[in-house]
Amino acid sequence: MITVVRMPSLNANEDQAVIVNWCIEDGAPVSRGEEVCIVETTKATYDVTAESDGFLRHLVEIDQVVKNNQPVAIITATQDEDYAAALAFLEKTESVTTDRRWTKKAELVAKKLGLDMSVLAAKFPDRVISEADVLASNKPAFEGNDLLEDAYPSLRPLRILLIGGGAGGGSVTLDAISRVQHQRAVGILDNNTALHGKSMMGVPILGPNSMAAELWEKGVFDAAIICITGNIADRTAIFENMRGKGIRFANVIDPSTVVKSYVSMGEGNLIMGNGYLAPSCVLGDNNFLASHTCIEHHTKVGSHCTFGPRSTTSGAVTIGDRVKFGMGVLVEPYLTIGDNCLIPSGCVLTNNLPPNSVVKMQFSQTIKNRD
Amino acid sequence: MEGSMLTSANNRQELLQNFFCEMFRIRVVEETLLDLFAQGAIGGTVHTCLGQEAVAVGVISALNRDTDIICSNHRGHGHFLAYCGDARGLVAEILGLPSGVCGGIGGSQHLQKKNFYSNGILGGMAPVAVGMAFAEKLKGSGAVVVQFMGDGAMAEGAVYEALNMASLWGLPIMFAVENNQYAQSTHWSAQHSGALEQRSEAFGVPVCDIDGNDVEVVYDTAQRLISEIRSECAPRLLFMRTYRLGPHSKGDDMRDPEELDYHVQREPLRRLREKLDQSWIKEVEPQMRQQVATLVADLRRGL
Amino acid sequence: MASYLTGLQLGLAEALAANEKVVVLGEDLVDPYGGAFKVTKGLSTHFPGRVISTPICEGGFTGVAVGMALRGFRPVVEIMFGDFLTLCADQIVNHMAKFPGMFNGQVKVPLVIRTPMGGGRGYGATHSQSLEKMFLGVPGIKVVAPSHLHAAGDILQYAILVDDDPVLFIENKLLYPLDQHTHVFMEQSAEIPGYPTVALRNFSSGQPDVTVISYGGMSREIVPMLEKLRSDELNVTAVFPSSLWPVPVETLVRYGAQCGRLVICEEGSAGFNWGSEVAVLLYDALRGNLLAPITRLAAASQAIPAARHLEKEVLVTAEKIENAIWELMS
Repeated sequence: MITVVRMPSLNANEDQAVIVNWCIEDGAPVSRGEEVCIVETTKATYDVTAESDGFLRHLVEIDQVVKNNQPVAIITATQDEDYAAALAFLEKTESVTTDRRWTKKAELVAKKLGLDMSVLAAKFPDRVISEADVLASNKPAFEGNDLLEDAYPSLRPLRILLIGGGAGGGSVTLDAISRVQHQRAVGILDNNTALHGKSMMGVPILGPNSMAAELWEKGVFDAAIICITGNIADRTAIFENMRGKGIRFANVIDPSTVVKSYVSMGEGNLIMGNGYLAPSCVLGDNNFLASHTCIEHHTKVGSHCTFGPRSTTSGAVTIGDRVKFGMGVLVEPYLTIGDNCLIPSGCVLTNNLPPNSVVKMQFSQTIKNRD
Repeated sequence: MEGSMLTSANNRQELLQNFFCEMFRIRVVEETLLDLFAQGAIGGTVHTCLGQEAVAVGVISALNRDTDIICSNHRGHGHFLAYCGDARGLVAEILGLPSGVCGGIGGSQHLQKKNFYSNGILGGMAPVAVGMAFAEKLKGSGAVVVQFMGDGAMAEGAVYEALNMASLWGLPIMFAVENNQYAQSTHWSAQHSGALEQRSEAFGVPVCDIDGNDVEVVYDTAQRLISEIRSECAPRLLFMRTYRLGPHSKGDDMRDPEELDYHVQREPLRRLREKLDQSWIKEVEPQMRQQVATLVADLRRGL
Repeated sequence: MASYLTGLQLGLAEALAANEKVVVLGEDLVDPYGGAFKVTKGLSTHFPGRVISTPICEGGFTGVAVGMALRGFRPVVEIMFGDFLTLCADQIVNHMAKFPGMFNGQVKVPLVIRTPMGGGRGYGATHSQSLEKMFLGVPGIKVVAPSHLHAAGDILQYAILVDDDPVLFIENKLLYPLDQHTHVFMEQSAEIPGYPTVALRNFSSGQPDVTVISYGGMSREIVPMLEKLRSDELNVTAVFPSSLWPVPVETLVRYGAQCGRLVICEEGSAGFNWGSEVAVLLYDALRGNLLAPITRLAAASQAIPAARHLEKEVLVTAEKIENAIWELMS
């Protein structure tokens, strides 16, 4: 006769506790109702008592974390009862009462990927296998084995690779992509080696930016997007270099941005939320428009420009390449801004800028004394 | 008000003349509608009340037309005209014109104006009428509801549910049953068992069983019952024996010509004419025909 | 937290207190009995003369209420079991629904017919049905069926006090004891004024894998099921319109467009049912955006057995919905 001593549910908020001390030695006799061990939750300590008479066999060690309902000891009726048989008995009963080893979603995804769940379960014996575990163990996914593509080839979203996406620019890009159905982020590249092997919002950081060409050759992504928002020189160089290798770029546009009729744009533009692209405006390639950017009608923007949040151009403005706008810049209509200009935050532009201009912001001026 | 009309012989004569005018107008409008139907100017169907004009005019003349309520049925042109005299609104409605009392949507069987409501489901209005009586009782308005129905509707279960509730709750309602002897093509004796006129008494609703082709009798009895209903706040049933001279609707008349002829001799307008000055009638009848003809012609010309 | 039943009791009581033209008619409503399901309990004591026990003649007293509504009252009718609506069908379809339109807008019929539908209590074939589908699509009436995620009492009050159209108000026997379910992942949209659609999701961010569209008593099956599916990592949004007719099409299309996999379920029997109409509306609107054909679940097309275990086989259960969801996913 064997009785199992299990970890009781001690309070509603916790599903585990730590064994602090054994009150009865391994192999020693125990009586029904006697304290077997002391366990501790984050809130208090409790005694676990025996439910029958016999001899106690420890199954866990001091300081070990034990889940609710997990066996902590067994009580055998006689001292010389076959311990191995007792453990076998326990294993058998536990195999019936144990929680499931994986979620149904994980099972479903594994089936589609042709993975064996029992292999995964053996790999992670201590937890319920999740969908993320399945996807993570399916590294070849980045060699063209596309879950969605298999299931619904006609609806396959565009697979996007994020370049320089390990920092803040990457997270805003991932967020924008997650809000649309026609694009899906498949991987991130970043030159910060400390990030390699990690993931952001469930998307793996695969390696340095230079890996893009190799991945493009393998056909694991359909288009790239550059997430670097501050350094125009880097942004431009990466774009030109990758395009030289035949890599295509996507336009990633947060769906909360309004894109009106007859807007035309090249590729590689990254446009954040709540922006406004007025009818008949034109964007070149590889521009970054932060949130609330407003490009009014018939305005032409060149390539590799970056706009800080809430910058606004009025109608029919012409902007060259590699122009950097700070935050909240306002541009009067019909102006022309040459290449490589730098315009600080809060500036109100009222006159044309020749190429390479650096504009100085004029703060509050006193124009008159009220007396 | 009505009582004073009865006190003097002169007034009585005047009252009968009014009855004649109203009944004759109904007759002319109904005949005109049958003509318009024959010409194809009216779609659907037309249920006329030829021969039942005394019921409509006798009962409704006993009501207060400002406050009392009429619930009518599929054969309700007579009730409508006796209630408000709006021949133009009625004909326009049946012609499907926007100036009809329900904009042409309701049509012949679905008329509504002020306190007049009709519907084309036999017996269906009986519980609705009971509800209206309940409403007026709760409001304390003193208004009486008259629920018109034929012998055909007396086969519908809803009527007995209505009689039960009206009596149980003591509601101011008069069930006005027109036994015109035919339900569509079937004689009433072929669809009712027992004594039709006695049924409501089992619910505690007293009955008056009268000749429905004598407008004076109808009017006098209705007036008495309505005043009882008002004073006692309890229902009554007025059972009126009459005869439908026309077909059920159009072209569905299978009755024996001899039988029809018998009833033509006893139809209400003929009987009322005998009580009136013939020279007055000779003067009035063509005028009224002309009025209706003009009205119809105007409507058809879009006026 | 008020239960579905106490919510309805309060809704009725407040409506009676707010407008003296509100009266309640039905069988066995008066205290001490207070109605078969106790929705009117206590009301006849608080509002004497305005809560009226009627004879057993559903067609008759529904007609009475129609008459009262035509003459300025705002009556509420209780039909003891929804199965008995067939007895009032003529009054509902040919009187209540017809008058406002047929009389060219000259009259109003502000009438609410309340009735409990649904099985699960072993009442058998004539006391367990969900017959609301017989009245869906009838011009001139609204058919409303709050789930236990709705504030059922508030919706009832709106129907009684504000809505001038006739309303068929479907309750559910098994919802009566349940507390109103609230959750942070719940949102409400009011495409049809007064009759909100509630959506509950079992995930904090991202897109649903499956959207379940249902109504009324099915919420009792679906809400616990969402928890279970959450533990299986399946993102599910459950959408419960309170207005069955008219259908809040835009709202349902919006939720349907979120994932492209849809399960529509209802307690009533299959064949020419609510789910069929909703599915067609969604097919029309979503066209190529569906990832799979819409799955529809309804009770088997047969008399509902009295025996509990047989009844379960006929009705839609959480287990059947869950199976359908996984079927759709695989």
